[in-house]
Amino acid sequence: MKPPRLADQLLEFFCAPHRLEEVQGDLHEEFDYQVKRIGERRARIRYWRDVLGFLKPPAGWPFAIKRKATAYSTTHTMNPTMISNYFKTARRNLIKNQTYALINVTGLAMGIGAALLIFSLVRYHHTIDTHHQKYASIYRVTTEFVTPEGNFNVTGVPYELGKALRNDHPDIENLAMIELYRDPLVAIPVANEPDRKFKDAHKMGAFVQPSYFKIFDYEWLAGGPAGLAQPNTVVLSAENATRYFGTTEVLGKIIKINATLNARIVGVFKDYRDNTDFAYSLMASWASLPEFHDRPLNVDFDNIDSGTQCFVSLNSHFTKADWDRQMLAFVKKYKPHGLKDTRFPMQPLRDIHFSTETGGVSSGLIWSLFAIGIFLLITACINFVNLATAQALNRSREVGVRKVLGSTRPQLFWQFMGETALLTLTATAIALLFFQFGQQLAQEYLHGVFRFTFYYDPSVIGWLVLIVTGVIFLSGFYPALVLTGFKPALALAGRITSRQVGGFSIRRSLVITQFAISQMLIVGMVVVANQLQYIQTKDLGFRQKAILTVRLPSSPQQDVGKMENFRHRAMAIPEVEKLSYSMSGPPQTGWISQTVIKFDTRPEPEKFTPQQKFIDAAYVDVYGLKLVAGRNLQPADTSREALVNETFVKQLGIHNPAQVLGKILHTARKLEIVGVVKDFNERDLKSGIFPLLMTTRATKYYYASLQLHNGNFERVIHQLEKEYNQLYPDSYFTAQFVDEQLQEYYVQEQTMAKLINFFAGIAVVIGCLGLYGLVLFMANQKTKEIGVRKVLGASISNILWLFGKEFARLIAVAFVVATPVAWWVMTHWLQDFAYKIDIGPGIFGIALLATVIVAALTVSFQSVKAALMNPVKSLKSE
Amino acid sequence: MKRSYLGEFEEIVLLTVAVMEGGAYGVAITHEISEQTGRAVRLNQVHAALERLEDKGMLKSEMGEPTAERGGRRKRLFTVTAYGRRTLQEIQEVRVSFWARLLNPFKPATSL
Repeated sequence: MKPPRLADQLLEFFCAPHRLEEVQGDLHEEFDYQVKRIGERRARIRYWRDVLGFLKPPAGWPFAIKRKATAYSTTHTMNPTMISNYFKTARRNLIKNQTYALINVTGLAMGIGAALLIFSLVRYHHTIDTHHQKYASIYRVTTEFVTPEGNFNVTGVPYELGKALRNDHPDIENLAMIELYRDPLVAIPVANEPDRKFKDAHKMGAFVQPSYFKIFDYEWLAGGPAGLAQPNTVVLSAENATRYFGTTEVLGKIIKINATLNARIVGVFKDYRDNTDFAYSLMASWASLPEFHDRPLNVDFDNIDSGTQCFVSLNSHFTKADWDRQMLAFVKKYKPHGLKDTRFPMQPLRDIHFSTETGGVSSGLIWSLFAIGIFLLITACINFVNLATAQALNRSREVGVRKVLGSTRPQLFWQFMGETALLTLTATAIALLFFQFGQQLAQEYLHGVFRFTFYYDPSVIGWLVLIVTGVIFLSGFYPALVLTGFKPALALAGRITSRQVGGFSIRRSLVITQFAISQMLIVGMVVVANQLQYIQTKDLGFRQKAILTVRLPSSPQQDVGKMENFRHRAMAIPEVEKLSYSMSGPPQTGWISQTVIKFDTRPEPEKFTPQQKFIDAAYVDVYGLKLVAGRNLQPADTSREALVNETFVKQLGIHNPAQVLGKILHTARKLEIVGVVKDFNERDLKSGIFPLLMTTRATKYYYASLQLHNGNFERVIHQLEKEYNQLYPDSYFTAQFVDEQLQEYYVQEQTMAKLINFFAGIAVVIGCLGLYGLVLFMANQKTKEIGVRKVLGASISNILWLFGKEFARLIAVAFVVATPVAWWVMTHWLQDFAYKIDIGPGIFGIALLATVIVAALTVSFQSVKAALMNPVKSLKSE
Repeated sequence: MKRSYLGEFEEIVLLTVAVMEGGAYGVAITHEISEQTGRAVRLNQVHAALERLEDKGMLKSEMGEPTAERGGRRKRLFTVTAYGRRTLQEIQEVRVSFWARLLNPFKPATSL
């Protein structure tokens, strides 16, 4: 007859060990007695009640709750008296060592604040579009061109691709075509008044098929996507609806897209959060496109606009692997002449944001930022560890006394960890201020680039907790270990020397780590800056300065008469020197028109598909293109003659450009090659050069390029706008300088470069702070030594070298460590670019020099002070 | 009169220990009290009281012999200290003196 085991175990766990035997004995005896008296079942219940009775806390402390077995319990770490003592000691120490405390707190605050900013930025980029339920199964079909220089991706696909895919692969779950509509212009009809126009520069609208909303998730405030099956319908974001009409109750109202296309509002959806790449505030029905363009959609596979995109969501019936297998057959069927150089790969949604080729953010740069964030924290922690161990000597007596009075090592350990935590938390409070401030700056400077807002994401709190815990442990652990390791006898006798204080070599290697990090960051900064400078100033092969491009209304057939009229009006402005009409400027606008060609008498079409560009005769002159053979085009409104670029000639398999002159190209028309232009870069320098064919065709000109004299450009633009608005009252004037347009290619890189510079700068500053503290400490330690040396005749430079040689050695070692790592990382980064700088020894020289200078400045500040000190003073004071 | 304050329950426990003369331990005391007073006394209450009394120095204890029904565990046997005895006496004296001054002693049946 045994009492319940569980109750017994409970008792054994909770009961004070020295009381257990008698209590349990009594309980068992009672149980035995009760079994005889009232039966086993009730005795068991009673046993339970009795055991719980021992656990139930009566007034004061519970009797049988676990207590020390010894008669005199030792003071517990969590005793309030001890805690207040810890706080008192910590406070006194901070006050005594204000400089060190300040250095530590500032360093940590900067580190934590900056790291928090970086981590939330990284997180932001990684949460882009993840809120869509089908996130993992959404793909974008893109066009890939295979050229000898490598493969280039264009986000767009031919119009017909959607229909063809749907036909051939009915198992695809959902498929939606979408055409982007840049800088949407919307007119709201107002009774008895001119239309109210809204121009949303740098915003996006789109034309979509209703299935788009089966792929992506939207919340509808009114209406829904069903109406988008009809032409002349549109859905708006709540924000836009409010802007146009002052209310979101707008179903059934009419807006004029591009000021011409009437569209009935059939739905209003909830505004986007910022973490999406598909922020289209206005989406009209795909069926409206022919009316919008005023022509039927192209049915060929040669015209590709990067804005005409195809999204699919796949399931197990049809996967990306299925597509990859069948893609070639698809290309063969629909674009046989592109079999060698055209592919239509599927790009997963999760890659879209990070694909630099298709306008995404470089994930390499994001990860570099992340690495910098880690570096920042490491540097700050190293400061802390260095200063704390350096100071450990001062606290050896305290440790000795505490140990003699009975402190155990774990108690002391947690005391010092607690102090670290206190400093870290103080720093965190300041860091949060930095974070707040940094957020506002980021909002101001980055918003245009990343549409970036910090919303109070719970992850920020998660990051904070993670960072703070990490920092406390990284910076507290080692010093606490050193401090608690003192032997009390030695400590009290004052016989602990710096030799025992956590081996100087550890401190050295930490400083080396810091220097190495600084050098790597500096190399990174220099390489990024040089590369950006290089690609922005590299000769692209055409003139960029003082050329203004004016966009003409995008009608399918340009009115040649009006264009002549505009030319006359523009040329009348004195600053305008030359004017050229063309389909696009040399900097590509995302629109690629390709064509199949047959060359000369060759029977088969060529196996490459050149890009086709319509230009007038002045184009070559305005953009300063160089002819390597032949002559310029004759002025003409229709296509008769052609210019090709060197790559084109190479692709034909011909070496001497002069050989192609006078030969006939068979496209839709017969073109005579009259000249070969030197290759020029149409796209950014990340991609190479496409084979290009240029010919005249006035009805396909969409841009006017005006070469300007020096003068008041503001006034010129103003005048042009006036003329333009008179000629094209339904349209909207847009003008941009070519060099500015080129800058836009690099906005993301530049922003990232700025961020990297900023944060790397902070890391270097934190490192300097630590170095400063360390030298301060050394100077204090060596006060006597310096005094003696000076008395014995050492010069000031001797004494400076005393400080300098140590750090010079450390820098040298750090350089050896940092160089290969930095070289490897940066070479990797540069691989993204088609044109890149060489990483020569010069760059590492600069990094080394910069570190030496920064370190020398930091070190000399204190060491000069120490060296100039009067030895009488330093030797007299005890 | 200077001495530790003694609660009513503590007094009863102390008296019981005195009465039991060396045979006093948790279970026995509990049974004795419930038999004599008819109160539903619980083991943990008795233990708590014993502990308090020992802290006050009115009881002392030692471990006894192991017995089979306790699974071979020893009992803690309590005895009253001199201080404990004196305390009990003082309480008794105070009571007696009050009773003596009572002019109309209650008749048991008509109390209340």
